[in-house]
Amino acid sequence: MHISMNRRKFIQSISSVSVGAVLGAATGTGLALAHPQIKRVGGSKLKTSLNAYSFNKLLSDNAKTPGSGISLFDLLDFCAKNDFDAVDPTAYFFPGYPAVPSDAFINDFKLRAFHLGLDISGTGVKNNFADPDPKKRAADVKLVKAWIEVAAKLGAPVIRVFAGPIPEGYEDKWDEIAKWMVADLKECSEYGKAFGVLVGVQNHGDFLRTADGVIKIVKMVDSEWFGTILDTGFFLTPDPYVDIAKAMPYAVNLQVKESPFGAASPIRIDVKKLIKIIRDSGYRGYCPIETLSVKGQEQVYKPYESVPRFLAELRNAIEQSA
Amino acid sequence: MNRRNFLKGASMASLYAATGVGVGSTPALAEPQIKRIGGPKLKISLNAYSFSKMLNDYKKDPTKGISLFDLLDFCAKNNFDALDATGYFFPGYPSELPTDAFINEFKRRAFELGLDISGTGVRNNFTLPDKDKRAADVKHIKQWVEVAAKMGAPVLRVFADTQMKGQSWQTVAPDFKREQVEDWIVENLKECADCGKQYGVIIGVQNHGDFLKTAENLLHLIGRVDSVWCGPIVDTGYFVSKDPYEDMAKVAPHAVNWQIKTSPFGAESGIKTDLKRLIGIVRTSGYRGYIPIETLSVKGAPYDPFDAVPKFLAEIREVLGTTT
Repeated sequence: MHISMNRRKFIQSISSVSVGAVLGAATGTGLALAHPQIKRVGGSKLKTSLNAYSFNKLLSDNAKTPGSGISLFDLLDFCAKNDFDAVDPTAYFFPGYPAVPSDAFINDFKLRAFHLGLDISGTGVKNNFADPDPKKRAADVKLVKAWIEVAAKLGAPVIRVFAGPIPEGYEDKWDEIAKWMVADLKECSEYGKAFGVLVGVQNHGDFLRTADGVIKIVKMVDSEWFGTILDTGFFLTPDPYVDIAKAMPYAVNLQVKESPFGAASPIRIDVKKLIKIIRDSGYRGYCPIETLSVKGQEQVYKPYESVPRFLAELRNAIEQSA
Repeated sequence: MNRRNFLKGASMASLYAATGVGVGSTPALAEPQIKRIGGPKLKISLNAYSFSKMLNDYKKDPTKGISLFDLLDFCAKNNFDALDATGYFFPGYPSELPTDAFINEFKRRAFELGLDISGTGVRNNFTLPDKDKRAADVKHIKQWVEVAAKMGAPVLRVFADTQMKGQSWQTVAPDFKREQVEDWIVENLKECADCGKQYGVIIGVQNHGDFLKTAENLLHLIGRVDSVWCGPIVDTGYFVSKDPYEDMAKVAPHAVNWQIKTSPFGAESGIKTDLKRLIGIVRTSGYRGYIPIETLSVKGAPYDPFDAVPKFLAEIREVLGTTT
């Protein structure tokens, strides 16, 4: 009975897809299929989260040499003390990565997060679906699938994957790369569907560097279990805010960076402008922040200072626009 | 680091359990308090049970009432942080488990609406002398532990009280002493908690005014189960004691979830919950997590959850916003 209702909803969304597809064809994006934009109700609702990668060095130190740096559990404490709503624990920092952690570890982590009132907003792996070698891509699909199961156990609603860098000799062959990449992403999304975990591809200034590129891939994958992780710092375009606005309706999660032009840029993101763009899209979900060290200036990077500072900026903008 | 905390916790619990033996029904003892840091943090959730009639109507006839998906929309429109999706309202309950496809669609829709799933709950009866019946309920809970894990629900609510209409634990187990009945419940809950540990889901035991009338009843039981995967859910409307607020305050440091009701003396009582006092108690305990609210219909009185829930929610928000 529930199913019939649900089916009704599906049919509704499918018919809106068709409308979108028709419009898409008419506006000349050249794609037959359109991924439905996510239909949300109730206006925007923004929750804060921390990308573990902000503590990359300290977490990596701990993973290599227990006792040094900080552990994922220490990071949970940090998030609680700073009153984040959630944490985004990247897979790299789990013991034994790329091998999957034990259920006992996953559950202890989940329990501690719960005790601290923290949700787990997502996780992510390292992969390269732009690689022309099918064997290498198959190995990465396998990695993503293994971590989809970890994400489900963690209660992480979404897993972040990469597109990968454009391989040498393929500079003018975007569509060719897209073809095999989409096949991989479809396979991952099917697996995500089975485990109730969304797969999100992040624009990383690599194969995916524009909103148009991201939207094209999302539409080609064409799954309700697939969307984009919108990285506010990695659109390589003259006005990244335009790309952010364009890609927002396809976002299943965000990564909010300090600069829209990459970690090395001194130009700070206009947080107020960003939050307005996010709110205008009707997005309801997490805004994980990530601060980064700049190559060659690792010594001056202090996440214990940069994270709370950036969080305060973001929180201020969220509260003032509520 | 964490393991160390767990070990500490475990040994404390054992100590409590050990000293608990011999003091008879005098509780005195409790499970270890949860060590939280960062001060209190409260997130608001809705107990689906507030829409019990409409959700059941839909379950029987999908042209009537509202679906769980409709309820997610309601939560988003009213800006809840989460929904507590009771097992009863899933298709096929209790004889069938929801399919993975249904669970995942529900989970995804909640996520798209920025809602977390703060918990779920099932019906069980551990006060029955019939061992097989209790074993069947343990099995039921174990199955729903898996459903909870798939949904991303951190806590599964179960009962220690009799769930049979018009009955109490004394009437369903008339030939047994409290100690004996508690032994059954402890044994059953231990098995559930072990399953919860395996799947990363906490078993939450709710005081429901029968076997668990007071904070001492609840904490004594939880202390004996002696697992970090089993903790109390504080039902603010179901302590049967002189001053329920005192009971709430005693359990608060151990709570894994709450159910906030409109009256501390049951749905039929005209006395409203002193929300300022209640929120003060929750915050003082350092609790970080969900405070699901639940409004209830009273026999003979008109009840419209579309009206009652937003009203109660506004009252809670007002208190959260004006106190620290």
